[in-house]
Amino acid sequence: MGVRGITLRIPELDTQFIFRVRPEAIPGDLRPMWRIAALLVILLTSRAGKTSFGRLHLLNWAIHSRENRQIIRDVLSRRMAPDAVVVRIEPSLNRAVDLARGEGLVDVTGNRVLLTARGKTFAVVIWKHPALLADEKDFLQEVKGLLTEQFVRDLFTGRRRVS
Amino acid sequence: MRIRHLRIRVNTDKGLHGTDIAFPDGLVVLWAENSMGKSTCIKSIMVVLGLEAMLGVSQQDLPLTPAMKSELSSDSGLARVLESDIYLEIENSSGTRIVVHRTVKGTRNKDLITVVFGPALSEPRDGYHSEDFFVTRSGAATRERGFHYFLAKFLGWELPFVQTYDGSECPLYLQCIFPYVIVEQTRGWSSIDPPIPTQFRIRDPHRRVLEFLLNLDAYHNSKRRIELSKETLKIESNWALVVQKIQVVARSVGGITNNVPVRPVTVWPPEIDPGLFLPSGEQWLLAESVLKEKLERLGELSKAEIPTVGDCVATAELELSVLQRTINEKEAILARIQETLEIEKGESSAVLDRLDKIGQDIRRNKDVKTIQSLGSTSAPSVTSDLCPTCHQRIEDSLAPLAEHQSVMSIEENIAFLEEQEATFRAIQRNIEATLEAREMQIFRLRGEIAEGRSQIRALKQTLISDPRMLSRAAIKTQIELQQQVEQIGAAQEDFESGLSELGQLSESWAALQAKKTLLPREDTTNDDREKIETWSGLFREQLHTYDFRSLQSGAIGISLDTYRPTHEGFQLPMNISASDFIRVIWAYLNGLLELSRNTTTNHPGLLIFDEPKQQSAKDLSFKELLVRVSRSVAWGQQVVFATSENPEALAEMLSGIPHTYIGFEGRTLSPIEKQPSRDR
Repeated sequence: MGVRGITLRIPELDTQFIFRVRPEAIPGDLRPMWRIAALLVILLTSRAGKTSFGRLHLLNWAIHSRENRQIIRDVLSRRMAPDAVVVRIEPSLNRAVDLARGEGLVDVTGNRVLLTARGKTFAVVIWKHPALLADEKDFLQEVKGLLTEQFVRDLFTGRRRVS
Repeated sequence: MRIRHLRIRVNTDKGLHGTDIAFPDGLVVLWAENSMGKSTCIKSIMVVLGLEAMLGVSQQDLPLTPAMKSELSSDSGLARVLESDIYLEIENSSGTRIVVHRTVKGTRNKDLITVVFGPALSEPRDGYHSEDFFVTRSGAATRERGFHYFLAKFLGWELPFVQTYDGSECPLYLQCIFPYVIVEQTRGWSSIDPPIPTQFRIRDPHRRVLEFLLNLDAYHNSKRRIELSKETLKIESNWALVVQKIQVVARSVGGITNNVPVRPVTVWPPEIDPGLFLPSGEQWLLAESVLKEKLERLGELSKAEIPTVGDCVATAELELSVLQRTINEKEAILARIQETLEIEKGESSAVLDRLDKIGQDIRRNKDVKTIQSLGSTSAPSVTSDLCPTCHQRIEDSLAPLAEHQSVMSIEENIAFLEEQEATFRAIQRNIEATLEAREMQIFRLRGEIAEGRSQIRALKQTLISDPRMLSRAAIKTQIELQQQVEQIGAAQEDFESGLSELGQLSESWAALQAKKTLLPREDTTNDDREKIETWSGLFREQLHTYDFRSLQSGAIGISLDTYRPTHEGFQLPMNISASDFIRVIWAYLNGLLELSRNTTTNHPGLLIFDEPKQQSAKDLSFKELLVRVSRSVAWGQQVVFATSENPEALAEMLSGIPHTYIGFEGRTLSPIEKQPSRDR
């Protein structure tokens, strides 16, 4: 790769200025490995290790931050109207799914993503590791079974109402 | 310490059994056939000294053979044990003899050890004074009535305090020291490091014991270091306490402190004087000058006579309008400060939010690192920056990057985030301090406004009351001023006394720092090194004499760091032969004994080996060992060997060597005539 630099000469300051492209810091959840791990634990907590892209995007958005997790809890406990929720669809998740598929960790059939045997082994390793994705796993454990495909469909179509 | 006389008494339903053994200086060889009670004698010595922890961890039962506790096999068949007692006469380096007595079976508490002050076994007579001590309970080594406390004193030992695994301290128990003196047959020959009981949870016990036995400066230095660090902790916590106190004082009058060092300093007073500041509008004033000003005003007021209402109508009206104006001004200031406070609070929550996000990001990056370290068994290949499908390089990011832009490695990224976190934390601390000062200001300002208002009320009341009466407002002003002066005065006094406490602490802190610089950089001194090298020499020399062959004995020595045998600087390999293993133990422990002849150590000058030959060393080597240990007599030391070697071979080996031979034909515990004795 090599370090690319631009050299400038400024006559008034008899010295050389070099501008270098520094490596960029990126958020941890944009690291492929992190997102794949998150994808795997999401699938592990899904029914039969399988889920739709819609639900995947919802959960991916939900685990992104404390605020988002709270929003989901509020919707589930009907303190908040589902149509007030704006779920961000992240293209990076699709890229993570592609990579995980390339690794043979997940399979994609139609609109569904599912864990392969290999993916499941790895997912279990992550699940059992106490320090890994602790907050995320706690949340998934909490909403497991509550965030059904139906719930997601209702949420996206705005059919669910506060009673 | 020398052993002078061992007496064992076992009363059975078939009569009294027992043994009496006298021990002179030098080499003493106890001989009996196998399983005839030799080890019982050695174990009895340990038990009567309260050292049973060396034989196993059981607290319930003394680790002795059934012969002492339940059934004794005698020549007339099995006999049931009714009572059994052990007596041991010992002598310390100044020639004082005592007898210790412990009951193994019987009505007497087995945790009691009776000490008879006098040679009651070798020179029996009436009138020796005796006292009871306790063992195995906590405090046995630290309390006046504890037997090990007594024994250590008797031996002239000052037991060091050592660190345990749970972070506390305990004395270096005798049970830990004696494995270097008594090698017992079942556990003693299985490792080069003597088997120190582990239940005391002492850190690095072998080093501690050797430092003590060799009387190394290292021990004193490390002790000193521990003491100093304890003192450091003490001063630090006292300092923090005083600082906290000062801050409470400041808060009680709505003030803040400035330039009070939060951690101990050696120079006192600090370059910039610490001060107590009180808010005055938007400014902070030194409490001292506020106090001075108020005192002056109070002085003026009390000098003047309290005016009557009639006198002060004009001034009261003027004062009223001035007061009104100042209150208005103060309210304006208050509003401004409150606004600033809100902005600062907003900043604070933004920073907290940022910190939270950074924390989450750090955790996620660490997650990635952990996954990478899970290893190739489960980690997919994206961890190596390769596309799983086309195996071309991909950047470690899911977000698209500018061309030629690379991403930080995980480690870099974590370091980068942690740096950010540290910066934001510093900012947060700063904001918090500001917020606190700001709130003080508001508190103070509100107080002043309320005070002004009540003064206005007083003035108004004055204006409408009887002109002959004393002015209410004037009295109120004076009383309030008086109160403030008292309050601020007390705070200032407390503040100053706090500072003088800090001054004293600073003095001891400076002294402590000076003491720290006096400590040698390394705990081990040249004297220590010399001792260990001498020991190492004795060790090597013996190995050569005992015909050690597994390794080049020239390359073997004792480590200056661990005090363990090493070969070319490394720990002894495990593959040395069984007989060489035994030779190493002989040379190691006897080396300690020999070292104590010409150097000052804490070694008791005694060595007890149970079955030193262990059926594996050659006769030739054993003979050399006997020759070597027999020299102990010249230094008034004592070496006791218990063995069941072939008696002819043993006699052959012992010929020409100064020694005492005590042979038992048959059992060591044999029937004895009941004397009108002093056994009980």
